[in-house]
This record gives sequence, structure tokens and C-alpha cells, in this order.
Amino acid sequence: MNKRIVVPIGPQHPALKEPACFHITLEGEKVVAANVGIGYNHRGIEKACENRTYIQDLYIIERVCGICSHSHSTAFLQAIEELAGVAIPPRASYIRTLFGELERLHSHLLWLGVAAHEVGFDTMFMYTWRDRELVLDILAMLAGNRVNYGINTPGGVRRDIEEKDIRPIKKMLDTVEERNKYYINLALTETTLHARLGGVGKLSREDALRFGAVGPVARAAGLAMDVRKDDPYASYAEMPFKLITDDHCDVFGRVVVRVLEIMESIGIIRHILDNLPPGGIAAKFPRRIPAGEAVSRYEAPRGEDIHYVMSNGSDKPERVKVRAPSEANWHGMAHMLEGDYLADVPIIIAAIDPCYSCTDRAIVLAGDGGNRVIDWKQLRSYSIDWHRERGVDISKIKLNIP
Amino acid sequence: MEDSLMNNEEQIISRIEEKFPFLQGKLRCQRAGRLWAAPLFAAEFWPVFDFAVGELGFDNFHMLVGLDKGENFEVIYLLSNAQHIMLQLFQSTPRQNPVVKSINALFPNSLFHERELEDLFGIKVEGLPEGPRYPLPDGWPDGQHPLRKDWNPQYFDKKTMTYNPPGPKAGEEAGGLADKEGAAI
Repeated sequence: MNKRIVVPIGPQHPALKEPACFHITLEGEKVVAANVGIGYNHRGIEKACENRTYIQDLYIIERVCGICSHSHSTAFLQAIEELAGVAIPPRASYIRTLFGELERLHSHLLWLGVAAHEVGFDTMFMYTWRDRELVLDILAMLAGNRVNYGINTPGGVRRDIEEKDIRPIKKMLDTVEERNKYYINLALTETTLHARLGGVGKLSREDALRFGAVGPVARAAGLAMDVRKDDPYASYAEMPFKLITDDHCDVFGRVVVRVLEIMESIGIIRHILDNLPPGGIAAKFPRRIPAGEAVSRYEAPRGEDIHYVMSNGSDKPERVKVRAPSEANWHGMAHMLEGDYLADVPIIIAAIDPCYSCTDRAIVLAGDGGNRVIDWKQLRSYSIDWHRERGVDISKIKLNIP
Repeated sequence: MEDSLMNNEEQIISRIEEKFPFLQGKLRCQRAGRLWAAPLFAAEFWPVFDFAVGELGFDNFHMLVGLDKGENFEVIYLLSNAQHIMLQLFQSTPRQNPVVKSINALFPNSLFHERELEDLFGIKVEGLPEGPRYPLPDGWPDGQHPLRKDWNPQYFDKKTMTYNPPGPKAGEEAGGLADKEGAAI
């Protein structure tokens, strides 16, 4: 009989830049049981929303997640637009769809890099993150920010897409498409990648259903499940794209689904740019919303995002509830870890693509009136000065490290 | 086949109303793909829930939402069927003794939602598996449930982890609020 030991991993996790705590029970090197501890980052956003107006809530909701910011703000707005009985203009709907797909593009490229890094394939990590920068530059050009685009507003969007924007977007798409073809080829033919990821983090079709998996995790288990097809929102009913599924039911399958979905997103963005309807970008929206309740669904890069909003007739919601896609995918995590090796734990956890923010580079657009790009060193000294002006001198803080 | 009949919201409503006459006129279709039921207490709720899951094919569980309605708490069960129609079933439970039965054995993905009900609303979920609390931190004071409407974050002191609402308290003067606010940055 092998002796069992429990290895705690986290909450300061070596792989994820986000707090979560796993208690892994091992028999030799094999995981026989796993306990998932989350909740370290609960910020009370739902309660905060109840005390603020819908407009203020939009800014809070956009910050639920750094990567899926557009997903959350759109899901929230769809709910309040249903309650207010406001239909957004077709052009605004197309622009929301465009941002949704640009977000999926950069999110999937980010994930590919993280997954490659977790298995020691740092060349691919650097390639995909280089390509992701192209998408982020386009988002910064269109919205003024790399993440948290602030494009949404109740009744539509805040910024229009101009004729001059279309060429650089198409140029970016051509480059990303070309490079993604290489990644697809690599994913499907590179034997070491398959040897490392095949059979790791197994989640069968039945288990994916039982544990309520969503997004690429569910689609890699052969489930044809995508809110964009199942319950179309924004302009997805008019978009030509394939629902990508795969039958590997493991981390390898999750790679295949995501690289193929990048191609579909590129196709959707091209369709939007070629068929952008004319007209306004925002409908008039009331400050107070009639009493009622609505459930809104959105296919975020990580899967189905659900928002429930209850209004009470005032300018503040009575209740807001958010079910982010990662929350759904955590339920199957223990099952995915069981039976695998300790060394596989980081990649299995990373394979559901739990969210973390990547905002450590900033383009300052407001404040002193001028635009400037600041690097990490400047950002750090800006932070030290900012605190010093408020009476806290961080540079004098001494860390007591035993 | 029964399944082929279940692709239409009206048909689903009439099936439920036929089986449970007390729900006559208490189901509404707000828009395509969204069905809403009126709140029911446990005795009436569970037969409706079992019928929806077992016979109408609403076997995809999405999430739970807790609501503070004053005298009662309500829990919304968001379910969907193979045609992607979402059905929202509401269970009421009295504020004095708020208890609901766990659905974790049927839907393993209800775990974090049920733990949330216990932590954030103080609704006891019977049959919930043992495990760490979620999402409030260890050391959070007993009996403090932040999503209840009468819970105000302004009165929570993060340093001492105590909740100090204004009003007369044994051995303490009313009006200590300003200090508390100052401390709770």
C-alpha cells in the first residue's frame, strides 16, 4: 500500500498569477484526490452594484475580469436593455460583436502562450504573445485601451469605427491568420506537443455535462455548445462561422479547439468590416429602468457568461448576479486532476484558462491632456511619486524577509 | 415523441400548468427562450423542480441566485433544456428560518453557488457536502451575511473584522459611527 501525502499548492500559485489553493493528495506521483479552494479574490462587486447607478455599475462590471471585460459589460447591458425595452442600433450591435471577437482573439493567443509556457515550450509562448500585441494595439487604436476598452454604453457603443480604422485591422488579421496557420500545423503535427498534452486532464463528454463545463473545455469534450449559436445575441445570428468541437477530451483537445476558433474569429471580424451597417451607434437610454428581471447570456472566450439583473424602477439595480465562465469550469477541476501526475497539475489548471489581468503596461490617455507611452521603469517611479504626494513613501519601506 | 413537443415556450407553460394547477397564470415568457415562474415554498416547489428536470428535460443547471425579499428569501434556479430555453424557478424560504435543500447530488456544479447562499445570505443549504467556506474569508464573523439588504458595508470594520451598525448597544453610546467609518477605509 503506497503512502499518501497531501501537497498544498497555493494560494500564491507558482503557475497562475492569481490566488487559488489546491490540496493535492498524492500516491507516489499520482494525484488520487484534489480539493479546489477559490474565493481569495472576492471583491463584493454584486453588493457594490446595488448601491450605484446603472452607469456606474457598467464601469464596475467591466472590471470583473481584465481579459473578458467586454464580455461582462455586454452581458450586463443586454440584461438592462431588455428591461428598459431598448433595441440598440444595428451598427452598434456589429461594433459590439467586433470587440467581442477581438477579445476572443487576444484571449486565445494569451492562453496558447500560457499553455506553452506551462509545458516548457517557451518559444511558442513568446511567438503567441508577440502576435497578441498586434491585436491589443488594434484595440488601443479603436478604444484607447488595451483591455477594459470602455466601448459599451447603455443603448449602444461609445465610439464609431471609421473608414481609416479598417485597413490596419485587416492588416493585423492577415498577419495573425498567417501565423495562426503555423500554430494549427504545429498543434496538429508536432509529436512532442501531443505526447505532452494528449491524455492529460481528461474530462469525458459525460463528465463535461455532469460538471457543467462551458466554452472550449466543453467543446473539446465533443459538446457542440456555444451561446453564439445556441442563443444568439448582438449580431451573431448574421455571422458566418463554424462551431468548433473536438473529441480528444483532454488538454490537447483544448489547444485544438482554441487554435481553430481563432480562424473563425478572424472570419467573423472580416465579415463585420465588410458589412458594417450605416447609422447611429447609440439609442437613447432612460436613467431609470422599469421594475423587472432579466437573464442575459454571452459566449466569453472562456465560455458561457451569465448575468442576472433585477430592477426596482429606480436608477439603481435591486440585484446583480454574475456567473463567470471560469466559475463553471472549476467544478470539474478536481475530476480532471485525479489520475494524472503532479507534474501535470499546472497545465491542467491552466487549460481551463482561469482569468487573470495583464495590465502592467499602460498608455496614459487622460490626466495631463497629452498622450504618452510609459515603460515599466517610468510607471514604477510614477507610482512611487503618486503615493509620496499622498504622504506614503514606498521607497522607504523596508521588507523584513527572514 | 414528447421531446419534440418541448421546443416551444407555450407548450412548456401549458404542460406545467396542466400538471400543477396552482401555477395557472403564474408562468410568463418574457422573450423567446426565457421562462419565469412565480416563487413557491418548498412543499410546492420541489415537485415542480423534479417535473421540470425529469420530465420536461430542463437538465442543464446554470446557476443559483439568492434574493432578499424582506420577509422571505428567494432562490432562483436557472435551468435550460436541449433547445436552449431557459427556465427560472423560484423557491421561497422564510427569513426567520431560511433553509433550502441541496441539489448537489443531482448537479455537482451547484457546489459554489450553494456555498455562496450560505455565506452571503445566511440560507442554510441542507445536504451540502463538507468543505471550506466560499467566498468569505476564514475569520469572517458569524451571522454576518453581506448580500442581505439590511447589511451595510459602511458599518463593517475590516481591521477588527466586526460589524458595528449605529444604534443603542449595551455599554456603548450611539454615535460611534464616525469613528468606525474612519477606521473602515
